[in-house]
Order: sequence, then structure tokens, then C-alpha cells
Amino acid sequence: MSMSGEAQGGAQRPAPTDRLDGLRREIDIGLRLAPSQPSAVAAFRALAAYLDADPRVAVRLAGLSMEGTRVLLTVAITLGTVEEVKVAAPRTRAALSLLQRIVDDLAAYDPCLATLPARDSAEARAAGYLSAHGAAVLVGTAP
Amino acid sequence: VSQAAEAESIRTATNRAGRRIPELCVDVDGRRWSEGEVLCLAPAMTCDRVRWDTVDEFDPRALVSELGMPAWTRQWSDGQHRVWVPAGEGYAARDRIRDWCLAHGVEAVNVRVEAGVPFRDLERVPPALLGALVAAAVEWLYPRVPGVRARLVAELDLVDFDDVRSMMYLFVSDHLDRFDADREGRNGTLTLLTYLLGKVRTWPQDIARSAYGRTVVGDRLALHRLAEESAAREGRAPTELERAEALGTTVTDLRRRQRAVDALSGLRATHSLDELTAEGGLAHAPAAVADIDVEGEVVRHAMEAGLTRAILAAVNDPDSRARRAQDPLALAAVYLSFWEGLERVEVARELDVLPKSAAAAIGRVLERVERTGLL
Repeated sequence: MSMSGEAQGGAQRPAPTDRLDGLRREIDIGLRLAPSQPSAVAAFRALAAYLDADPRVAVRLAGLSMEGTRVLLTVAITLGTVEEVKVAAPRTRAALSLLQRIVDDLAAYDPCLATLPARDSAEARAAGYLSAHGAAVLVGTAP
Repeated sequence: VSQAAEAESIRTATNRAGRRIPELCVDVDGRRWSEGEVLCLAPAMTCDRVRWDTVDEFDPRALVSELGMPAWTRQWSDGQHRVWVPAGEGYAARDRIRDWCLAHGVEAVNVRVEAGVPFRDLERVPPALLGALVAAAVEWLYPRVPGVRARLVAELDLVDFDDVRSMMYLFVSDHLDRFDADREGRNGTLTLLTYLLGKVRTWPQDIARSAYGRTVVGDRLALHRLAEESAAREGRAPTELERAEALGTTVTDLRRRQRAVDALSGLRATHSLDELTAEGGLAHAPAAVADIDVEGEVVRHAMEAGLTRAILAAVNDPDSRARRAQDPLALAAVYLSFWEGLERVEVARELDVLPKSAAAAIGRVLERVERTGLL
């Protein structure tokens, strides 16, 4: 979850710890797919097709690692700002629907909620590498 | 309802209302021929069929002339050789064909006899008439089977939509000599187009079986069936564990067979992620996975996915008339609480709500998840 920005709150509400005025806090949900290694490329492609489907929903590749026979691919899906989440704004509902579609349609890759990896972790760096080189990695022409 | 329309409507064998499929007519040399008149030139016989594979070039007509019994041959588009002989002569013909092949240096593989099959000697039909009948059948059939055309393109590598019409010519040509027009049902005599419509439904899987093998196509059909059942029953795709159970196998074996199915579907993982590892991106990846507990791994991932589905079902039910049919606040509260490890007070602070509101949101989800028995 990205946490920066101005919080609202009445006298009885707990005071926010971060006070980055001018920025709005957004809630990110981590979703992890765990395809087996041979089907990982197919999983990437299937996921990419879903992420392109609704441009209102902000999504980023947050983590990439391997565990046993699985490739763990974590994406961060932004539900919206705190205010949008509280009132279930259209953008938030779209994000929730996208989450639901991925979980239903890509069930073969065992999608599950997951903690987003720290930005300096190996998982996040691998995801950054893949994001930077994009399709070149998947078609085998990465430098 | 006009009399013509009434005459066209029929009741099918499965007791459904349908329309009569027309009899084909072709115009050749200034005369109109019905399909019955064309096919009468080559009446249906009951024969035994001998077929075999070989990589050697030879002329099957030479074989037929030296077989010492009435025999006919015709080339089908699958490339196998076939000889028809009168019913009851099939096994004798097979032995003679083997001997002939041996004497002429032709290696015959997998020689099989199919007894009592219908056959028409289409060489008796003038080529122009036969060609016109095939063309007319394709013209009628092609626009009426879009699903079959799509399946052919999807299931066979290197086949494009432009290829399907010419493939259908071969399909119809292959089936003409097997057409037994004497069969009668409650709606009259079987017409050529009715016969072809029945055969064309299984054409994609038949052609895929001959191209890729029976086992892999059978696996794919089973997986497709499971996917459809799961979509209808659960509203989602089946998990790996469910797919393994449907095929009656282990997850490890499923993956091996799935690779074959993926290759068949043209969905190939041609570039391994090992390349990415070599780039340093996945430097911490294990070098060998041979001693990994695949079963335990599968069960763990399946349980996590099941829990996620249950949570999403609790916070996202747009079809419901409940006040919180979509409850993103509850999802955020549960996520922050259980995946980010925040205390309730911290969750409330992050979401800018009262602690009791955060607790209530989490409680709503937990209550529904508990009902599924996953907690």
C-alpha cells in the first residue's frame, strides 16, 4: 500500500502518522499468480490481456520470483484513494471487478492475495527488470 | 404460415422443431441434376476396407489390378492408402496386399481391415458432375458451420481462415464415397447435406487426432469439458488440482500432458524463464527443483487461492441486492489486517475510519468466509 498524503478526520478519529500534504493516499492490493514454470509465459500473456481491458484501473508489476516449481508473479492493483474506497467510487468498483475477473478466469494459476514485496527486494527488482525490458524478455531478445 | 413453410418444418429425432435440409441440385452441361441422380451413377455397396500407411511412393491402381479380386481404390486427403473389396474378402485382401507390398519393396505399416462399410465407386460419375456436386455441398455447408471453422483454425497450427474452404472441399470429397443414401428416418431419406452436417461436427477433433495423436486430443477434450463445467457451476476456471483430478492423474503428470496440449493449441512457451534467470533478474531462483514436494506445494497454493476466492465472494457480489454488494472498504481492511499485518487501530488510521468501523468491515468478511469452512 502506498501511504502518502493528507488524511481527513474528526476529533474522535486517530491522527494519521504521515503528513505528506498534497498527495492522496491510495490503497494497493497485492495479487499473486503462481503458474508452473512452463506455463508462466502463457500466464503473463493472459494477465496482460486482462490488465489492458480497463484503463481506469492502475496496475503495476510488483514482484517476480520463483518458488519450487512455480513462478510467482505479483501485481499491485490500485483500489483507489482512501476516499474512493470508502464510498465505493466507480474506479474502485472497476478495480474490484478486475480483481474478481482475474481470480475467476485465471484460476488455473492459483491467484491469491499476497503481501507486496518491499521495493528494494530481489522480487521487486526482478519485476522492475521485466517491466523495463517488457516484451523483449518474453520473446527472447532482451539485451 | 404458408404451405411451403409448413412443408419445410420437421420434428427432429430428439423431438425438436427443425427445418428440412434441401436436396442438392447442380447444373451441368445444360441439364439440372439432383443429388440422387448423380449418386445413382455410383450406387452404394457394402465392402470391406483395407487401409495402411507407407512412406514409399507407389501407384495403388497397379496393386488393385494385380489383386486377383474385384477391388477399388480412392485417395483420401489424409494420405493413407485404401482399397475396398467385396464384403467378406477383407482379410484375404489384406494378406495379398502385404504380399504385393513385400514383392514391390513397399513398406506397409499398420494394415487394418474395416468390415462392412458403405462404398461408392465414384469413378463412375463424370468428373464435371462430381466436382459440381462437391462444390455445391461446400457452398451450402461453409456459411452454416462458423463454429467448426473457428475450431479448425484454433486447434490446428498453420491453418488460417483462408484455408478452411479448400479443406472443406477435401472433407466433402473424402466423405462422398462413404455416403449411404438408403437410410431412412421419420423425416424421410437421409440427404447428402444432412449426412455431411452430422460428420462435420466432429471434423476438427478427428483431424486433430490424426495430426497430433489420440491421447493428447482426448486430454484436451477432457480439459475443455472440465473448464465448461467449472464455468457453469463455479463461475471460474478450474484449478490445477481440479484438472489433475479430472484426468485421474497427478499434478506432475498433468503438467507434462498440459505441455503437449498447449503445443497442440499453438500456445507454446518457447522461451524459458531460465533466460531471465541468466540475466540476473531471478538470481535467487533454485538451480534444481527435482526434490521439491510438488503435492504439498499444489495444496498450499490451492488453499491460498480458495481463501482469496472466498474473500472476494464476500466483498464483491454485484448481482446481490444487499446494501454492500461491493464492499471495497472491507477488502482493504482485511488486506491491511492480514497481509500487511496492521493492528485494527492502524487499519482504521490508514483507511481514515473509526476503529469500530474497521473491525465491523473485517468482521463482515470473516463471517462469510467462515461459512465456507475455510477458516
